[in-house]
Amino acid sequence: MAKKKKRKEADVKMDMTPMIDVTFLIIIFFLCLEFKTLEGKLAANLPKDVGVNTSKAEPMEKLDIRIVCPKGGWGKKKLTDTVYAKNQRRFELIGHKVYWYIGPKKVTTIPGLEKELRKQAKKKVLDPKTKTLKTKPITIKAGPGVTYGDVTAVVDIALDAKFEEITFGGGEGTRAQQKAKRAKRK
Amino acid sequence: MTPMIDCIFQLIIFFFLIIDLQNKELEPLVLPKAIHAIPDEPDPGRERPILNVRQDGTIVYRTKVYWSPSDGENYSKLLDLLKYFTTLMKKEMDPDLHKVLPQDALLIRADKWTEMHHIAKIMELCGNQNILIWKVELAVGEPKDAKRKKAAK
Repeated sequence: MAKKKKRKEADVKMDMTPMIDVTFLIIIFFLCLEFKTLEGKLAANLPKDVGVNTSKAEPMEKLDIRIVCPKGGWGKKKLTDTVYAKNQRRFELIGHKVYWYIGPKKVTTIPGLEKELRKQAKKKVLDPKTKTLKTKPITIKAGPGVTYGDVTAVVDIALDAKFEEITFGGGEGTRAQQKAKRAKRK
Repeated sequence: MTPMIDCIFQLIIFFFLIIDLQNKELEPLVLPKAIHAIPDEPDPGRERPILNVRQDGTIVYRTKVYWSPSDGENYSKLLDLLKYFTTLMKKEMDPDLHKVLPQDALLIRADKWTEMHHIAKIMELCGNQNILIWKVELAVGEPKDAKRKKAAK
């Protein structure tokens, strides 16, 4: 009788190793999935002809887009739980506003910007190098308080409107730098 | 011995992956969304010129800080890094400018709410006569419905 009981107990024992193996594999699989978030990129160019150049440049009509953050348009900072580095918490801007100048024309809404850029994209200009018609090269200039997100939004819309050449103008300082300048003047 | 070997293998795989991910080129930033972005498919094993810009303007490459607001107008470390990037890039003679220019793009990754001035400063430094990087790529996230919109078009 005792032998029979022992045999039964031995039969019930389960080998947990394969289950743990599989669990580990699943954990690793999901970890990898988490890290492999897809990113995209928007291509743009910087002015090549910086500094002193001996080569002649033919004049070509360009389209300037100036992004402006109005007074009070920066919005309110709302801290999130994400921590970048020591004592540095990520923030979101609530109520952030910008408007755009496409050439001399002021645009205040995203649909208005899309409409205006599509209209401008139809106006082709002659490329002096290739002697072919193409869309005007765009130069995006960002004023103080304008964020990376504001600029990528414009680039995204410009690419949708089929503009081929997008370049960037120089920065005009941060909000803090502008404030300091104003204070100095006072 | 089998379970032990199993476990060791699992640990090796796990740490291998973790170490690879620790060698981070990409800072954990919240990127703005864009519909017309090209998917970023890096060439594995090749060092990429990537600059990460945090919300306060701190510029990071492979977890090392190359400029922070406390540096003020001292961009020497960043300039050295950009010069190093040009050594990684393919170069070609520009027929218009008669100069040898890098042909690869510099990928700039910044948080959605980073002030553009910090990115513009990088772009300005790219124009330095010893650097002359003229192609840039702005990193963005793809919105969930972007693929659907693209397919619909």
